Amino acid sequence: MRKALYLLSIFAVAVSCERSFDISKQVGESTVWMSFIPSNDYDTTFFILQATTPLVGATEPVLTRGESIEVKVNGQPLVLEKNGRSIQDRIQFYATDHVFSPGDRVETAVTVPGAGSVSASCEVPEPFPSFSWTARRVPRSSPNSYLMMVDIDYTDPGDGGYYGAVVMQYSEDDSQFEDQDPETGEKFWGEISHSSHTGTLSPWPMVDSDALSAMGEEPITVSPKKNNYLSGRYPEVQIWSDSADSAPKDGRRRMTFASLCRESPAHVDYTGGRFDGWAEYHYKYKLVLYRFSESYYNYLKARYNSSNNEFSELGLSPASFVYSNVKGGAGVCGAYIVSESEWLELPPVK
Amino acid sequence: MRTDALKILSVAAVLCAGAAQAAAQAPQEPRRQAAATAAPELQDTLTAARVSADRLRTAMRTQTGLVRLDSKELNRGFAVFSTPDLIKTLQLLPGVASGTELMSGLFVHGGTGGDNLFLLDGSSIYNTSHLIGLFSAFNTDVVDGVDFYKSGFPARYGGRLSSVVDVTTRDGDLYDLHGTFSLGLIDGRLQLEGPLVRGRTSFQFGLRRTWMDTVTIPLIAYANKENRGEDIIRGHYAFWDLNFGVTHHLGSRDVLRLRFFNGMDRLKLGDKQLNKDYGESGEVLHSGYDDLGGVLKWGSTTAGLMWNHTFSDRLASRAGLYYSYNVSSVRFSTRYWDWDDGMDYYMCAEESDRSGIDGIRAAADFDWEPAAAHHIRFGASWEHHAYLPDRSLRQWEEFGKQKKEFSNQAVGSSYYGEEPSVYIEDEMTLLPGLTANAGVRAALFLVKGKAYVLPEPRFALRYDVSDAVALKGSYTLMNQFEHRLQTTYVDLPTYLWLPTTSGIRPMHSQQAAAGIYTRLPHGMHLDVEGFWKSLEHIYEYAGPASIYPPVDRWETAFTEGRGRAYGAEVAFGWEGEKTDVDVAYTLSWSERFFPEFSDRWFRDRNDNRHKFNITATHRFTKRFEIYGGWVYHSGSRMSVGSQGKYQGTIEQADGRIFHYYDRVYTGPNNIKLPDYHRLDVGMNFIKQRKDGKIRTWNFSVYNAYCRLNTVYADIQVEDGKYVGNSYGIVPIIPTFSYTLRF
Repeated sequence: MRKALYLLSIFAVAVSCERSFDISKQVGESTVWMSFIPSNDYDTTFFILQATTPLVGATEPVLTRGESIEVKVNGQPLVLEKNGRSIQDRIQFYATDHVFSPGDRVETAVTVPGAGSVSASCEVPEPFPSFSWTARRVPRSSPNSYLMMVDIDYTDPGDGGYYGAVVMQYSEDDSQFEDQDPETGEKFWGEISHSSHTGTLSPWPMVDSDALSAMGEEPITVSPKKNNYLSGRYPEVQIWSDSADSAPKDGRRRMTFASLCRESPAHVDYTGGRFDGWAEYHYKYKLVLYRFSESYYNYLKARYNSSNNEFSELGLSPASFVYSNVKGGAGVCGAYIVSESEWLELPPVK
Repeated sequence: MRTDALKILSVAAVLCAGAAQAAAQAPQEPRRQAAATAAPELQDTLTAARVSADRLRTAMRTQTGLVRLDSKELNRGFAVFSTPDLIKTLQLLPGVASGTELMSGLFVHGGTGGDNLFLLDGSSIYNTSHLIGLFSAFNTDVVDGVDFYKSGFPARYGGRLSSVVDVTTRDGDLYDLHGTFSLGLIDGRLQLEGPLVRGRTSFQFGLRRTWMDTVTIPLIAYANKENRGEDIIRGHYAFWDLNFGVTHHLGSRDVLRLRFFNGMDRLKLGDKQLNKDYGESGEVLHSGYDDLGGVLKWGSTTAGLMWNHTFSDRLASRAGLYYSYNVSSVRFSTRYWDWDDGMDYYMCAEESDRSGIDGIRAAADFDWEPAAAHHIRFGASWEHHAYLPDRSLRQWEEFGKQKKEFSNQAVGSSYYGEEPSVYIEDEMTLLPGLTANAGVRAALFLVKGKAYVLPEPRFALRYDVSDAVALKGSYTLMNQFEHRLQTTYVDLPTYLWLPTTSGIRPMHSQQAAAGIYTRLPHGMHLDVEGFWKSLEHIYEYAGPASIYPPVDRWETAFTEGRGRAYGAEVAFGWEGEKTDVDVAYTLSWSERFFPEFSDRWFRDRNDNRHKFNITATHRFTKRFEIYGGWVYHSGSRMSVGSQGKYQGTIEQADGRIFHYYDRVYTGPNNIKLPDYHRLDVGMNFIKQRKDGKIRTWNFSVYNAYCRLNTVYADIQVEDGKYVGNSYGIVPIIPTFSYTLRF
């Protein structure tokens, strides 16, 4: 269906009469873009800074020099260390090893000569509330491919939270097989063991969430959005928000989401093939949960939308891809807290 | 490309565009039925983009922000593509932003566009435009009058935040049969009225339909024949609307009115392309085709039965039963055909989105004048709403006689809302020259076990400084329980109407307005009005690109925000013997606050700081008149990534250095597009024939100096540099029409 609107849009653009538009008077002077994301995810938190360049008529990037940064945590100054810079001072990097805790109030103020002064603040959120979770596999048409349906039951604090979740898969396999020495022709049994974090499971595309209802599964109660823009260690975190207004009376909420998952059967027998043998596969799963500050959630959502909303760029839909909480500039000051569950083992696949 | 595009558009405009004409209606004969309005008779027939409301009567009302238009004024209204247009006429009023050029947007005092109450003979109408907004759904041939409120809403109206467009159609003539026939470049209109039972029962019939499909269908067939079946194009568009009404006088005290309306648009598009693979010697190795098709359909049907009863000179009532059915649907299908192993192979997919909203309303209104100083209106109504969005996706393949379905998914939900309301208002004379209209409306909404009970106080005050000068002020509080949810700003039927739920709150607004209204000598008037308005719980789409709102998760796909608007409006008019002039100026601000988009207030898309219209008509003789109108407003706004975050540097093929950047948006709607202005001109040639029929030829030019007003702008890389470009679509559109009144 999108194609049709794309075609219409392309047609509109094709027949539209283009003319030069003096946008330069409106884009204004260079401003400050900054990114500061305190969390408990890393030992080191980076502060990235650069003066933006007005695009129309731009020849050389505006340089970021002579900057001053002031960061306070709960009103106390926090010293940042210079951590590097790009060629010719186009981007500046700072870092701190400060350990941020839930409830910390972070305030930043930055001045870059020629680009102005900006400020931003955020609060490090509380951890993900107490929860339990279950997971189940829904077979798909492809062999060894499943939808991993994950249900999280958690207690809603009732203050309007911003959350994220991602499922980690850990796999082990042991295989034994009968092989033949190429020189002597003698048969022997070999053995290979392998274990790895196979990574985070890919979120099932949102557009297909309808399919789950049609498959007889319980409908998704909250539709999370996958996100590749989190500055954390795991990609493709699915994010969602709870409205304070709609908090249930008993505080209990349930969130369901789906990820793509591949699993081989627990035992595969190769007897009768070119070589006799068998393999044992073992999987376990861990849930990584996030709680975001409102500003960081909005920023992540906007980044997601910006990569998926061509209509906004044509002025044909709301500017949902625009978000910044940096007063006088652009970028984000946001925070998050990450928590992890225990490993979960599912019944073996037969 | 620019020149070619301009040429193509100009040719298309000449071939396809309808007349930028206004209704070219001759003076009406005196009407005998009681329903005729008390508007002053205006004898000109010019097709003017001129909004000269029934000023005297409007000024005498206590309410601010009220504009009344009668049939003649509407039919003088200039319109693109040959049809006088109610919404296009309202767009010219001060305080109203029109949004994208040519579309039927109505953004009143900073409103959202989905917060206007359209009533057609008492029935709510939700789909108010045809042809992607080029025409509105109201056939002005049958319209008797329109009450348009921008502020000072009386308590008898409710359910929307920003405006009320109360349209009433005419009663048919009780004694004579007559009508109008008109043919423009895109559509034709026929209106008939007359007695069914002379002196007691009359009918009114109006039909409007596009006729372009009678030309495009053979043209497409010819083009397909020329393509020898290798590329088959399908295309068909039509809209129509039908109005029918019967009025029956039961006696001197009772009148029964039956009204019916059906308006519909249907657009079918398709393209079937034959694909062939050839061998080395040119033989066809393999062939197949791709077939892409779509059908868009939207429209409304309303019906109403009203009984007016006069108890006495002081008390009258109207009871009514109203039905409204509104639907919009989009269906796309793709079919891939291949030929394999002697059997046909098909891969097919169909996607369908539909939004339906039905309403049944019963209402009783009373009009009571217990004393000279009091005019009390009170009443109650109960409306049942059914909101029925659904979406389905089906994919299957066929191989010979075998059919395998991959998926057949359907997501549908239904919401039922009950909206009872009661109101009372009193138009009272407090002191000589000082009148007030005080009222209250109790708005209730029951949905899915949740009940909202929201009182809405309304207050208006008028002080007559003299016979020629009046001061007015008003305060209103409004709630809206239905939300028009859309993912794009295109006037396509791709929006959902859905109710307030436990997660989506009722929209809410407060508005205060005040002004001075003067009647000057020599037929002149000058009105100055200021307003301030706040909007709460308004919703915008906050998600990735999507044509249709997600049916299954609409409550989380839209984000809640606030709005505020304020400004001042000046309207000046002069009605001379042969010349009329209207001038309107608006200075206004419209802002939004959506925490999900920005932590600051930002300017609304339709934050047009200045709006200025001047229209003039001159009657040279009874047979010839001309019109000119110039429209100006400050440019609308859009979000453009105008600043760059340095990403890297590359050396281009010619050795030049190019720095590339990630776009940085300094805020929503950060760029003001170029100012909008255009000139429209027109002329009417009128002739009264010997048989009494009056024919009018209208020639008009829309956008006479062909300014390509910007629709959108962006920053692009051209020749290794970032440049700002703006894009306009609508060129000069010359049109004509022929109208015969009999």
